[in-house]
Amino acid sequence: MELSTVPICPHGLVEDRLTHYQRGHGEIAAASVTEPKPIPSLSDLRQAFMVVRPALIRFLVARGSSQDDASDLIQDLYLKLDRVPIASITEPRAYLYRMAENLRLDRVRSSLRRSRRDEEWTGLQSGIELDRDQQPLADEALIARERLSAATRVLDALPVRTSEAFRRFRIEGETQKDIAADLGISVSAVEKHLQRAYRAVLAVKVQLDVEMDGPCRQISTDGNFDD
Amino acid sequence: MTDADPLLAEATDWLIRLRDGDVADWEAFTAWLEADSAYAKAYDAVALADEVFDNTASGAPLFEATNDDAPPPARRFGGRAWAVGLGAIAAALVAVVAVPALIPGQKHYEVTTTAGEHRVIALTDGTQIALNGSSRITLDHKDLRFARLEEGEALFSVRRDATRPFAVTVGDNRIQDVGTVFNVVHQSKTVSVEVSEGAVVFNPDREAIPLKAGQTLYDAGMGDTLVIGSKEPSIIGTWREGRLIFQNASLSTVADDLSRNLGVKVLVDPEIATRQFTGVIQVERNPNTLFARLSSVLGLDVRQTSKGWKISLHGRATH
Repeated sequence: MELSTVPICPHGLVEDRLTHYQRGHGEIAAASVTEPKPIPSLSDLRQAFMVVRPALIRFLVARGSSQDDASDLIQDLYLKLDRVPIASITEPRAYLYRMAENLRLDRVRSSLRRSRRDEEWTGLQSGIELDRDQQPLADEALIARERLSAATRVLDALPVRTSEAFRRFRIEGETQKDIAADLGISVSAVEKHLQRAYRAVLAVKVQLDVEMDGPCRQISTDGNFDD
Repeated sequence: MTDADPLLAEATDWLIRLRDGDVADWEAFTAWLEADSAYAKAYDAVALADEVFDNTASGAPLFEATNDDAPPPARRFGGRAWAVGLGAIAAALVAVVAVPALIPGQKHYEVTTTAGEHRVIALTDGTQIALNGSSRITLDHKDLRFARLEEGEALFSVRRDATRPFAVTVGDNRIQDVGTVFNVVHQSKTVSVEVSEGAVVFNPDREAIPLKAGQTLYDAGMGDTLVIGSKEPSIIGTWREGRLIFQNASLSTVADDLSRNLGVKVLVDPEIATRQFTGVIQVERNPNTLFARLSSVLGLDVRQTSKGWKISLHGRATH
């Protein structure tokens, strides 16, 4: 190769492997892009973890965690890797993000639960050290069931296609593409149905939260508060 | 029904998209969250409302969720469903200068950065564009697969969609891509493309040159010759982390890159502009430190002049 004729190449072109291409000559087949999807092993998952770890911390911080909490959560996540259903994972890195998000939501949820519990304790027996037990309140399953039926009622009141698209996406776990194909509508139409359904679900949640946090809320004392 | 809170609607879009999301979606989501701390709270609200449906299929007790760190069932990850038109909410994280639409059906807008400024533009389809300093790019609200790099440098992480290729216009060239990561520099008339993942096609309607990961293309913008070279994929686009890696780069290129990344003008004496440099420059916020180090590495004089920092032979510096 005649290096002397090679123009100065910025951005790190390695000169000894340069080839020149004459405009308008030659035909080169279009690039083929393949995306292999092997089933990952635990070591693949661990390796993916190492690669994506800084990004996960950044994600958790963006999600509202402190730097320390984010490191904690990531440590937790790592310890849980050998208990995940590896065979079902198609995208290890996306899966790790999902784990991180779920762990973070768990924290949000238990801190909400704790503050609710604290309020109840303060209301009942102020001055006593607060119970930091992570166990759900006995009435939580009940509340959840009430919420689910409220949400279901709201969904049922929506146009049939909207509630069907939502049910299939959220409860049955179908993809938007499959739902679109099945209903004979576009993916973006499915998206609009889902957006509309979520709006209704959010509205009912807000309403229930207001009711629950109101001054008249019944406090359960049925044995869940051991002294 | 009352109109949706736009922030909650946007958060809901993310919730829907992330259920079957890939790593590019999560990265784009991170970038979205980083733009404003209110976004994380909005997303919390939506995610906590959404969990009312958790475990409904299995009939397991709700809210006993201490073990739900494991992701949802496999089928959620199985489909590669992708909402092409994910609503009209452009998650552009940057202040944009709206340019009036000149052609019907197009809604162009321009994003610019000043020298030394880095910006990440997250498109709602999951594509991310990291814009280096002193750069200008035109995008389209209606066509998420369109981008025109007017000048400067951008690293494209393109959401894969084989049915709708992503096309970057650079001068009179076009780089077409179906889902990959690649870096483009447009400086004066020159164009440099470096592919870090996947593959692109350079000028699909003309030369149709395929470039795979690790391949580079340089168009000096004068004459017929395009130069195809190679570069280790892991060092492509490292300017995002503040590392400028050069292999046989001319000093004028080094100066241009430093100007873009530092926010100060860097010039080279024409006498030595074509000299080559191989090495790594860690971008420092303090130009004094950086240029002192650079001076000793290059064995050249680097000093501040009225026009900016100037690289020249010892004893030739003009003030």
